[in-house]
Amino acid sequence: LTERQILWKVELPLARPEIFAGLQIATVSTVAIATLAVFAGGGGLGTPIKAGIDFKTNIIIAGGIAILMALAFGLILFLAQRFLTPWRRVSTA
Amino acid sequence: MIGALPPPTLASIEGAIEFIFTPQSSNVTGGKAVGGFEQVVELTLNQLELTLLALALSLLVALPIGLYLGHRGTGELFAITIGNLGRAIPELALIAFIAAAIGVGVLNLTIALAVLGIPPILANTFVGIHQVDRATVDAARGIGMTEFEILRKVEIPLAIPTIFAGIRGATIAIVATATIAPLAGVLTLGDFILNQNVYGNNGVLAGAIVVALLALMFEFSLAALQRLLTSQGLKSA
Repeated sequence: LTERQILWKVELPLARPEIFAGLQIATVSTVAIATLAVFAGGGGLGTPIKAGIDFKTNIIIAGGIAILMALAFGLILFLAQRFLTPWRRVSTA
Repeated sequence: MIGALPPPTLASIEGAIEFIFTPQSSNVTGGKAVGGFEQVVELTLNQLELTLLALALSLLVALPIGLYLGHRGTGELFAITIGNLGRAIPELALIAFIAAAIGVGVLNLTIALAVLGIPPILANTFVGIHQVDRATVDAARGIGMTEFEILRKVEIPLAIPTIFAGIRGATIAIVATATIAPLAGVLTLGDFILNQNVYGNNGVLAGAIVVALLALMFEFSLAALQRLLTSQGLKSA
């Protein structure tokens, strides 16, 4: 195999679980942190939280949606990883 | 609680640095100067205190559980799920909720920030201890070490890099998030950032710069501590 083939056919596939673990962390935490965008004029789910900082329902609903969104992104990545690393499904790892 | 912020424009670095060292006039305080070295130091110390308290609480909760579960090899789903769920919680919502439901103050904020710190420490401690080669552990048991000795002399030294990765991640997250503590009544460096109408763009940038420096300081200190705690035998390997 050439160096290029080693990278694409051996190293990258074998590194997929770790790459996905990193993607998973980055994606999920970014969704959560994006609620802070409101302070930079970016809107988002932080808006109702900031506007109604003394109202619990606002916070619970906006926060809940943010959590669900983060988990949904996490789930999509998890499914993508299962699809891209089929050999992991048979082993118990 | 906070006024409407105009979309921030980047003030000059120069203005921000001036803000850090000398008090500036403000439009809304009736001639009272804002910023300056004294206030920056005061807010930095507040942020430092909050960070250290939250970090201590996180360590106190997450380390024992992680060590115990990792050593036993049970509760993998629990540790990993906590690790993943914890990252999904928007800290702004959590802090706002705690402030609205329980009340403001240092103690409540410490708990809110610990929620941010516990998951990475717990997950990494579990994984670090759990992934230690079972044959090594069996060998340690074979030469007569007690379970506690195995944990302290074999598993923890071998798991130090992973455990510290968790602690460093948690610390950076806590020190950075302590910036929004003013929303729950504790004045940290975020005061400069959240109250742009009082401190001006210079204050916003100054706050951001000092928070970033504080985070870097924590990162370097923890890296040094990690080197210090890494077993001599593992360093040469």
